[in-house]
Amino acid sequence: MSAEDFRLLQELFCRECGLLFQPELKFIVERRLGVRLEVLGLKDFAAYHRFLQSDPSGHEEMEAALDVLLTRETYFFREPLQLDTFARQVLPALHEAKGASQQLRLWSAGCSTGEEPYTLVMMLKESGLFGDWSVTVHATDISRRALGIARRADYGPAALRVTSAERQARHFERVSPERMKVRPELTQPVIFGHVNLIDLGKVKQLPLMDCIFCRNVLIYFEPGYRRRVVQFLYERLVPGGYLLLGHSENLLNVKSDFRWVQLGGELLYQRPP
Amino acid sequence: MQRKGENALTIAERDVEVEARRRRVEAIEAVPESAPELVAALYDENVRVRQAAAEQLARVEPTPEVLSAVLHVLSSTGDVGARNAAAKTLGLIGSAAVAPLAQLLKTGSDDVRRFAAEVLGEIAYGDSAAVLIEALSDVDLNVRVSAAEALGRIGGIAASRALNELLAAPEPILQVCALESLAALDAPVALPRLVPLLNAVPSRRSAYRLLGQLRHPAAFGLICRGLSSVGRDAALLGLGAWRDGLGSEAEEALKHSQGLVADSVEWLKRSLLQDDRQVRLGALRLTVALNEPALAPALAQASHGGDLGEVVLHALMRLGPGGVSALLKGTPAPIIELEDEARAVACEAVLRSADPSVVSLLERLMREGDRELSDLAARALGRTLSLEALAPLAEALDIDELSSAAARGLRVLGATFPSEVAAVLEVGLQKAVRPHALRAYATVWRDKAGKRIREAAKHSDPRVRAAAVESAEFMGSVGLSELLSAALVDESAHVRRSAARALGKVPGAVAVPLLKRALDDSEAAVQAAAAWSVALQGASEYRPELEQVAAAPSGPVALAALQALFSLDGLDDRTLAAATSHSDPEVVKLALAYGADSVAGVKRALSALTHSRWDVRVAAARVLAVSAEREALVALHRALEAETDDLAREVLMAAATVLTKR
Repeated sequence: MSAEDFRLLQELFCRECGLLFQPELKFIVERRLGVRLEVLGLKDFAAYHRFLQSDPSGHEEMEAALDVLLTRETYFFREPLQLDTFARQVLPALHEAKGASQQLRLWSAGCSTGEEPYTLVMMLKESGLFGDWSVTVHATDISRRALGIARRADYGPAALRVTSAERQARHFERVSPERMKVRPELTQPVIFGHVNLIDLGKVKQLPLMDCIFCRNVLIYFEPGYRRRVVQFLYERLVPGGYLLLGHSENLLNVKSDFRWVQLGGELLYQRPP
Repeated sequence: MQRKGENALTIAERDVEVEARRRRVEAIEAVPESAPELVAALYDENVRVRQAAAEQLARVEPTPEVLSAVLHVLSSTGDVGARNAAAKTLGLIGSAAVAPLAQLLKTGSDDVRRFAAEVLGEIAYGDSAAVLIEALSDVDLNVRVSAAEALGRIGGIAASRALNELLAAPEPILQVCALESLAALDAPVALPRLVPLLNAVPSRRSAYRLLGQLRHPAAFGLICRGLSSVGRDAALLGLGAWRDGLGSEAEEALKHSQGLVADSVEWLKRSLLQDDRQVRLGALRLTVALNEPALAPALAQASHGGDLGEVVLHALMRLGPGGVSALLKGTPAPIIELEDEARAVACEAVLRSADPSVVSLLERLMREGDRELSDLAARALGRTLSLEALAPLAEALDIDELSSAAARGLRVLGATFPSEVAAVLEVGLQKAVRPHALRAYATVWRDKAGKRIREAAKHSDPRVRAAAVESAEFMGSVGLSELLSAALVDESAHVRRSAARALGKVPGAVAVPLLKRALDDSEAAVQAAAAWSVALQGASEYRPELEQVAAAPSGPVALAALQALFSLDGLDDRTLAAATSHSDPEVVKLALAYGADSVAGVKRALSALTHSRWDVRVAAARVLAVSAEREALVALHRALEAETDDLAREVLMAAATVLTKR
């Protein structure tokens, strides 16, 4: 892939979806989109750019491209320290704050293949705090294919690699020697949806949330769009609601009204109450 | 909230003020009379204003008064910002500032002598080498260090000789500085001076790095010896810096160096993860020499940072199927734990090196991996060219997310085992007709697939009908014309487009009479596909229709028609001129490229230098580099001055260089 082709694709993805693939990702972009070239029988990336931009199936192909480019490798109970803070600090705080309505809404923004929203439901159950509450976990992603996998709730060992045997027994049913399915009662509170986070119209259709998980998603956005997405997330939170980002992410250099709070050694963002 | 708003406003107001001051400085005329005002601006509290002042001052004629005023800022102020701005100014002034700086290097205070040496290094003017060499004997160590660094930027025989001598200095910091400067200059070094520094802790890393650059016959041996010593981390740097390819003899020597080291595998695993690119490269070379498949996962991780992807891929390929096994064997398979570049490179290696020995591992990965890895496993199974891959691929054909990859895998496998693969696909198609399975079946079973294709062409799902029509090229002549005729009037544009595409691949006797209908279709996608099929059939009788289609407002249609006309027997100037003013930049770029060899094409490229899109300007510059005469240089230089895009500037400059030599 020439520098020119990379730049043209970079601009196209940024224009269409607000995603910015930095030059250091060129190798990955080239490898992953190479699969698409093979499928479409195109000879080079210039032709692929033309296809994405001009071909009547370009829009469809854009989704396929995003699907391979945004393959976010994830698994159940990822980033245990942060989840521990969520369980020990955030959930009791939400329990107290929402006691009157007994209604709790979480959002897994960029849920990929579903491991994160199901993990959240499992943690809510483990906390024992929300037994009779009306609990919903909204789970959205830009990839329809990822959402299809998420809805099936059926996973192999890769997704379960840090899930203890005790948790596996408690939250999953074995469907084959290698695969486990999330127990049906744990899939009930999860509502999946196809949302591009830069699309305010779509984001606005979601209700106000008490806590948003948006881990390892903002890194993909061009700074201007990142600001916009952070603002959308802010607006989708109730006052006092929390935003949890990925371990290596923060909102430095992103102007936002979030304030940060230190809970149990973890850095969380909060919409001021 | 209100206070937050006020703060934001204050910051915004401050920004506006700074911007106004910067613009005021930029507006000051660059004449000696303005120098005091510009010098005063070097003390501004904001770095952007100081930067603008430095750049503007550098444009002023460097009279002795101007130079003296700037040198005064450098030598008499405790204001770090102003001093740096003065240094920047002098650096930009260049050679005219060398003599007064050289003077300052002899007479200033300790700090000023140091700054003078640094700025002389920045100007990198050959004549200042002598005074900097003299400064290597300065009483102040910091001045000596800055002088050595400056010599590393200036270069030349005298500088190299002085730096070589400095290797024997008693101060380790000077030795390191000399080593780094010699490495930067790529200068020859006397090996006897270098060898003692390989053993000294402070200088070891720099010394090995320089050793790697030397191309001295004895250097490689020293690196190998270092790899089994306490300084082996530094020796890896030397191996990473080694510029020549490593032949089998060199790899044997590397292998031998690790023969007696007990923990080399664990050490290499750690080294492959280091941030320093040269250390990783050294570790990678040693890993390849050791041919240790167990290191494959760590090797993949050496690609982190994105700068070694291709090299790591090549190294993984050298490990062969053993390396692939190491990536796939274990619970969970190591490839599952890899992320980002490491995963991309490992996936590529698996795909390229898959052979029958890893079928069971791939089968397991397909079931256990996440969606990217399952997809990879399905594709790689096809490439194993093993009959054992057939069963897992058939199973994957029934899984929605994997069926496309599985069908591709089966298509590859079908080249070796056509009847076995066709039988498996036939069973799948009897259960449900999936478009990619049908295409794979037709590819593998060719004319024997005719009946199945004809049936599928009448399927209720338009995606299946489209797949059937696309597979028509394999079905033989029975019913072909009827099938394509029917498809061209299908209610689904998707099916009609597939038919238009198929017209390029089936025998001309069937296709050519049908092309007119496809070219006249109301859908742009069908027209575009038809245009390309005209070219594939070489049906030049459709040239008038194609010329008409080339003027279509739809980019894809115009693009396809231009490509078709070009491949038939070239494009006339009128069509190219019209295409150059098309609203779709892709059409403009193609028209520029197709017209590159004509005078009119060069004229069009010259006009396109002012196009609003950077990629069109790039395309125009490329045409000029190939076909224009020197006269085009004026327009190119003008375009260069106006160009704000880095990539376009690069291409414009390259074109200007080519034309200058023409």
